[in-house]
Amino acid sequence: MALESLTSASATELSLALQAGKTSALELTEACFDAIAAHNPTINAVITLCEESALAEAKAADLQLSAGTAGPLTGIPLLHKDIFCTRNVATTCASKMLTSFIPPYDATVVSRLQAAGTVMLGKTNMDEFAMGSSTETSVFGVTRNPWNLNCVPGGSSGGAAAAVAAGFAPLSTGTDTGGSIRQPASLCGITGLKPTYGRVSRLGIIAFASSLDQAGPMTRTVEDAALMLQAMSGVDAGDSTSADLEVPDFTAGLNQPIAGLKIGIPKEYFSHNLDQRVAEKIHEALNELVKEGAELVDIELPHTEQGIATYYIIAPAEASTNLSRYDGVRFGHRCDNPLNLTDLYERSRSEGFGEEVQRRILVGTYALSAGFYDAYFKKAQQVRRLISEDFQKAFERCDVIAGPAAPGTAFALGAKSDDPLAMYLEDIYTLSVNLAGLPGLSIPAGLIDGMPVGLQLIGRSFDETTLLRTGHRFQLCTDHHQAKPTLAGVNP
Amino acid sequence: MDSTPAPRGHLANASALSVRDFIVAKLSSVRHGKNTTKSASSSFVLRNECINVGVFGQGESVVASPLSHHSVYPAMITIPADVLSMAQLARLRIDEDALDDVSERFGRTLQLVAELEKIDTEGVTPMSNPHDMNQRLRPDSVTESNQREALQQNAPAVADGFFLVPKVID
Repeated sequence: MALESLTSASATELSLALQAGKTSALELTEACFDAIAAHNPTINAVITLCEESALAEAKAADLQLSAGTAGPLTGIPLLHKDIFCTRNVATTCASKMLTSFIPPYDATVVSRLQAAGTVMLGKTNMDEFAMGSSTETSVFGVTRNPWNLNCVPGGSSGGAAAAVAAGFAPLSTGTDTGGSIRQPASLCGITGLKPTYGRVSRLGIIAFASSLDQAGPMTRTVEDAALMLQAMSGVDAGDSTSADLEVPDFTAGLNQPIAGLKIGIPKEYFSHNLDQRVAEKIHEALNELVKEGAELVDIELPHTEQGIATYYIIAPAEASTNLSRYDGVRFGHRCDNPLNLTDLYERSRSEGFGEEVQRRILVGTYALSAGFYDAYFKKAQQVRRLISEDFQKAFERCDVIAGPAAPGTAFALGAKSDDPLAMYLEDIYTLSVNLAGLPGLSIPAGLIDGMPVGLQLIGRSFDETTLLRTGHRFQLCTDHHQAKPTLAGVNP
Repeated sequence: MDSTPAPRGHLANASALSVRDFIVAKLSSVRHGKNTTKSASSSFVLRNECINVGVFGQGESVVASPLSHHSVYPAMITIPADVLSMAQLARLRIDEDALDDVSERFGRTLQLVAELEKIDTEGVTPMSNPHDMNQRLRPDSVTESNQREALQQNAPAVADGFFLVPKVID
């Protein structure tokens, strides 16, 4: 297989090539490392490399392939977002707090993908503790968008999205608390799926907001996302919020037609917040789905704008609780020469956490504090229910909801980093989906001035199958997902 | 902290007064023991509609919104002091130099979330989990073996199998 194809083909194509003996897992893994060596110094998508173990895993995969015992993901290279605990491999959450943390165990997602035969190349950059929409809050520096090095890749799974777009790996894992898979997927022109809350185990994912966090695949095609979700999904005794439901065969129904599918179009997703050129691309994409027999239905999601306020109470409140574990005692950063226990706590946390993380801890502490709890946290939980009910009402009239994944294309580095509220608006179309716990998919829908636009599809609870079928149909009748950045200006 | 009430004649009406009193009481309780010295000029006003109803305490400004009759949204808090209180609760230390910036951004975030005030949630059951699920219980049996050494490898300071902390008892 040609070298260029090895770093641009889908995992499904690579799997067929591996099974047919046209390439080997070792050759494929080495091609990925070569691409990383050439372009990562500029893009900064990968922050930890596992060359030795990856080459050993690739050789083991080749043995399985030759023995005829390989599965569809055997020998496929993969990168993990640095929020997933990886045994004996640094797991930092891109925070100074965890730069020396070496987990003694694997996240369930990591062990399941390893059992499926994937080859772990390393770990990807992210916003610190997954708090951000631009991958600019990482202690390891910004990740650049492979489509334009002066732009952000989105976030928080920006390293994962940039890595897949730049040809570093066909698959990467991401996590999505308010849009952290779908928005960077949109900005980097790849496919990203946030599964239904509970579909994928959270064991070993460093917690941000426990009622919102969900891990999912970031890939080059919807078909690959289905394949990867299959390996990631299912109940886990180690996560009591993982859903005890049978996992459907996500790839089986992919090729079924979408004739008669009702696609809901929320008018609130096309309001003043949206770049009109993005709106045009989304309408063009919807027309393609109509040509395939889908029917568009006008729907309302009246609490869309309030989703931001709701999210920015609930997520920081849960984060402030989750992040209280970092105390400088058991693991993580510890200040030098603490005077007393309070000094140890305060200095360790203030030195270890970045600005955005500290801001969210403060807001979360405020929302949960005695006297303000009802006005903030309880109120937000009540509005959360209204948001969830909006979706339930909408799904009485449609099978899938469609709209943009982000209000615009990738913005310039630094453009929003001094304005947290402008940054929060990036997730206006994605965070309600987390509040309601629904699955959401972002797929490439074309380019504006050379920068990718993402179409978001939102499904009913635990109905990833319909989302994947719709997304795959779109990729069968369009070629937006095949557009690749030229990496012009990326120094070899 | 001195919580002498501001002149009441400046308030829009009686219900706004009760909200104001509530916040004053709240601030008194959360700042107990804190010596707040921020001047009135560095206080952060959260609403354009706010009217100044007086100055009290150690140079702290208190403002009240005539629109906030039925809520405890931050119509009248002196944000830098509030940030310090929250930082204390969250065991964070904010540099004096950074306090105004942190407070301004903290205040803007609270302003953003105050949007929820407009929504009628009377009788709506709070939703804490997307599926309203109850967490499963596992069988009460031992599943984990002792991994003290492996777990303590990440600890910044240990001795004899214990985590080390600064002396807490004199």
